[in-house]
Amino acid sequence: MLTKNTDNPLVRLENLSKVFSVHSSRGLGTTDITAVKNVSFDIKKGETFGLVGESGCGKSTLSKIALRLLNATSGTAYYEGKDLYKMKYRELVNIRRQMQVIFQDPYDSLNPRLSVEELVAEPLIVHRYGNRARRRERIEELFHQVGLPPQLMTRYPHQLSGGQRQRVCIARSLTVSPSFIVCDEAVSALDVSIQAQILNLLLDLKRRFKLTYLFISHDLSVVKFVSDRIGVMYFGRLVELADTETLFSRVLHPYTHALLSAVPDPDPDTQKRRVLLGGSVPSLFNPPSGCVFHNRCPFTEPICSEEEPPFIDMGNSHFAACHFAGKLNLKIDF
Amino acid sequence: MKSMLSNKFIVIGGTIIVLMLLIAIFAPLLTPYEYGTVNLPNKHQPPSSEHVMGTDLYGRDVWCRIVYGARISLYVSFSAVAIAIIFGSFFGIIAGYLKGVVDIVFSRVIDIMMAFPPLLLSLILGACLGTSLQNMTIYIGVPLIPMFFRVSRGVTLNIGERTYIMAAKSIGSSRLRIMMKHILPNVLPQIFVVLSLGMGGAILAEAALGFLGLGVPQPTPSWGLIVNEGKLYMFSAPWTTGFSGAFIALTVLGFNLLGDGLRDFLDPKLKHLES
Amino acid sequence: MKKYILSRVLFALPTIIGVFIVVFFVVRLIPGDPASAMLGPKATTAQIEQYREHHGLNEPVYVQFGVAFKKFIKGDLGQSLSWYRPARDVIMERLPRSAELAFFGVLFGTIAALIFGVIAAVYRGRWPDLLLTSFATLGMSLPMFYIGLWILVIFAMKLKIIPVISTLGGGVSYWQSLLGPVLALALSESALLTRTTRSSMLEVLNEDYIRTARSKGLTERIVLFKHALGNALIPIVTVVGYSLATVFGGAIVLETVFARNGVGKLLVDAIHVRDYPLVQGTTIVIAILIVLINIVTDIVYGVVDPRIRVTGEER
Repeated sequence: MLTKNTDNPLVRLENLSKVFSVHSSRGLGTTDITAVKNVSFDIKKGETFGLVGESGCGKSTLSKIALRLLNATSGTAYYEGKDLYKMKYRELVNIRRQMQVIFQDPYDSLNPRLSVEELVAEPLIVHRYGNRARRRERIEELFHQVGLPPQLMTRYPHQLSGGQRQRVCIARSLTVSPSFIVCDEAVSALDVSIQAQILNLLLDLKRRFKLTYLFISHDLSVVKFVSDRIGVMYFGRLVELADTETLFSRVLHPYTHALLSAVPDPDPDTQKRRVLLGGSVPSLFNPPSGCVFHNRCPFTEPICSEEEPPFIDMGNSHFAACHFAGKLNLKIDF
Repeated sequence: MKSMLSNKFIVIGGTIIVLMLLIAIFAPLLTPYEYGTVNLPNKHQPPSSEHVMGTDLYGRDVWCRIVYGARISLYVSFSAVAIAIIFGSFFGIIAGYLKGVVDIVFSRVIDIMMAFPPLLLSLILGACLGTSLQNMTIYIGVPLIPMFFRVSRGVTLNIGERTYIMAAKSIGSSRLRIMMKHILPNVLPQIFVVLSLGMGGAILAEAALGFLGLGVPQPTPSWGLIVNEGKLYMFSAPWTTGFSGAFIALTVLGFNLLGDGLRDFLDPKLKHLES
Repeated sequence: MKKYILSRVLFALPTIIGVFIVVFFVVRLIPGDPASAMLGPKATTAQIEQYREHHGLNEPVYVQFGVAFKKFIKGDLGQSLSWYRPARDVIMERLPRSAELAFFGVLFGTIAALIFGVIAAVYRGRWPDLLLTSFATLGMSLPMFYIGLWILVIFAMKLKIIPVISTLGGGVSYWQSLLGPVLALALSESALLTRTTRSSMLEVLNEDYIRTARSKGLTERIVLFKHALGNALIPIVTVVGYSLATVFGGAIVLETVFARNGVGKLLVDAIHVRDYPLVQGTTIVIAILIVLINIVTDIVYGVVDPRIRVTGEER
């Protein structure tokens, strides 16, 4: 259904779901919570796919099960047509070098007990790349590519700034010459001034190494800046998916509309009408019936609380999960 | 390192232990008599300038026996704790990292071990294996395994979900490499704290087993054995058991203080409550 | 709650079975022929052969295990070699002696620790605190038998208020026979618990509701004993419960020191005369007792602590 006009996607996710069993500390029984439900989409070679949604909506979990860093509860993920969930442990370890992740918190994603050099060298050692001298050479080259001064090599993560740490993470994921990189809130923990530097570095590297990105962020302005296509997630579900252009010109889902209206506008003269959502994100322990957005949606109708809307193509590969997609007046007053 | 020395528990405990180690190492220089020379007419002499800690039931110098006993007791305790650390942290890290069935099975086995009071487990292992120096390290070490298992497993569970473990996974590190390179260095400091408390436990176990007559066989003096030889003469010649027991208590105190100090040092959260 | 208790009990069953398996195989570590080991050195070849036949020792190990396990389920722990009676009967006769020692030792130890701990917390950093925490640290480092032996020297030899051999009869009253070992056990228990009580109290005294209680103008005694100690009790209960279990280890030593006829001394004597069926039986009984005590502690903890902590994997 999603493959209509995509030739050979690099990554394909099919109905991925993740359910966590939450249990009390003394075994008084468990409750299941669904963090990700039935998410499917393709990522084409060379594109940047942006995934946007509030924190806690399951974006990070989705990226982890998409790479099988965590096991999905159901559904599957393909990389270059190969099913990650049918792979043996050894094959998986080997294919992982092609798919890298840059995590949100550069402080937490670097082992505090290893030096920067050891950290960047690790992938090279794991994949048996050259001898010590060759590795050293390669690390220096990588440092140059991500804009890190070589004298930082002997430092430890806590001695670096946030931006430097994130550059180390980027260098580390580039060591194995990947073709697909997941940037999981890669710039969110950084200062705004540093954010721009890192974003530009990422775009620059993409051009240079012909990379494909899955770019995850809660910040729509960042996602808009880097992405070719955007998927919007809410409460573990994909609610809308379209080209960046299309999405910003014709919004189909009320949730996306609310998100768009919240993007700060650099021009102080434009009067933007913000759509303020009532209520709050529902509890994972008690998911709403029907459309998961119905308790906060300004356009809610009786059917919304009864039936879960299907995720369908509304033309031009623009998907949305709303009973009234295309029938609502979702103008953004730019 | 500097701030470590500002912790008074670490300093006092460390000093006691270093002293005991020095006594054990330089035993021949500190002893005016042979520890094994029997001199029956001279038995049960109270402490005097000739025999600072008196003589035992065979007329042997108690001080000499205690000094040489330090060698055996510390050796047995160190070996026992080493066994416990190797097995405990190995299985603990595996259980904590792999989780699932492996964790359930290992944890159940540890639960079963913990149903026995440590001394009881040592006793029946000792009764069935027979008492020799090697066996003794086994049956003092085995009851200490759960302690190290639980610490290693706990730390591993805690950091197993950290992003850098995910990151290591995503660059293609094998499970073995992640456990050795990323998890083990984080487990070691905690092991160090427990090691200190475990040493105290091992010395107490050696003493208790010796007291019950299941210690290191004659004639090698260990603190447990010296205690055992003197216990029947507690009323008439209390110095044999009195002094050897005091040495045991002092050494255990040293290890307990060091352990407390290290725990405060590594977990500053608790510090304001303990001092 | 019912479901919780049931799950605790069901959870303990595999542990009890595991205990049996461990003891069964540990006893088979004895070097040489189990029959001659079980019968002792005085047995004749014919007796040994008869014993092997009777106990199925010529069968494969798993068959032997099955037979022993069936007996165990029925409560049969085998025949004691030194007492010429069923091991179970001998153990059950001795059990109350150990139980009363453990009970009174923990009871008095806990009472002392609560008083010491509260005083140390209130006078935090001043001399009563230093004195009590030093006492506690030292107490934890003293071997149990060492405490016992000195009590024996002081109370039996110098003061002559307890007997050297703490068995009943011969002009020795019930309390006299208990005084020595209970005192030793209580001292060592209170050392461990004083520190727990102190840190638990300090933690609670920092809470807002204590400040509220004080600002309401309640007397310091009510604040301390009703508001603070009540809440500090939760971790203390757990430590008491689990120490009740390890107290049996102390009982083994103390019963030997005071020549008291409990299961601990029974076990040590059985080891010395190589009465392996009795060793096996005593060990199993003590371990099962501890599993049961831990269940009770878990349940009490569940009652005392109304909070349910929810933990789970990351989302």
